Amino acid sequence: MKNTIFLLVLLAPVLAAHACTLCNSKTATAVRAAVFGTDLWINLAITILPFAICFLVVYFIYHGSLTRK
Amino acid sequence: MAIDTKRLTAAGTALGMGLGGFVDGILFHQILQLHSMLSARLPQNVLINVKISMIWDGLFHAFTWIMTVVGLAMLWHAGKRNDVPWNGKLLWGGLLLGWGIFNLVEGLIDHNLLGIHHVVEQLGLSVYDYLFLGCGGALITAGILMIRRVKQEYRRK
Repeated sequence: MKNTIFLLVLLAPVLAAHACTLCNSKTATAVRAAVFGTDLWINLAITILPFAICFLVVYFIYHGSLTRK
Repeated sequence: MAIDTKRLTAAGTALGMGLGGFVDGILFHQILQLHSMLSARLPQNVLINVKISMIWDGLFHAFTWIMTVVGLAMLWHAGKRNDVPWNGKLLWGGLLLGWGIFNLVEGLIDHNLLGIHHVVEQLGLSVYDYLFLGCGGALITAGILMIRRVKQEYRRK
C-alpha cells in the first residue's frame, strides 16, 4: 500500500504533464506560436478595450460626472 | 445629511457589467457556442483555432471576473456609509444599466466596428448583432428610469 502511494506521488507530475494539452504536443506548439505571435498585443488590446471603456463609465458615474447636479 | 446615490449606482453598474459579461461568455461562448472571442478570424472547425479561441475567451472571462470583483468591493464600501441609501431599486437600476452598457460597448466594438466575432458567427454580421445592441439599449433605458425614479423619491423626502 505504502509503495503504491509512493509510486502515485512520484508519477503525479508526469501524469499532470500528460493531461496538459498545452504543454507537449504538436497542437500545443502551434497554439502557443499563434497566441504569442505578431497579433498578441493587438488581440490583447481588442480584448481589453470594451472593459477599459466600461471602467471609465463606472469611474464617471462614481464621481458624478454623468449625472445632473 | 445629503444622500449620495452615486456610489450604489456605480457599484451596481460595475456588477451589472461583470455579470452581463458572464451571461455573454457562459451562454453564447460556452453553452450555445455561437461565437468565441476571435471566431470571425479563426474558423472554429479546426482544433488549433478552437484552442486559441479558448485562451482569448479565458482572458475575456478574467476581465469580466475583475469587473465583478470591483463591483463587489464598491458595493461593500457603499454599504458602510451612512449617506448611501441601501435601496434595492437603485442597485437593480445600476445592474440593468451596467449590463446594457456592457452589451452596447462590447457589441459596437467587437461585433460592428472590429468584426472579430458576431452573435451567430455562421451568419456573420446579422440581425442578431443588432438585436444584441437593441437589448443593450433597452437595458440602459430601464436602468436609467429606475435610478431616476429612486432619485426623485429621495428628492421629495
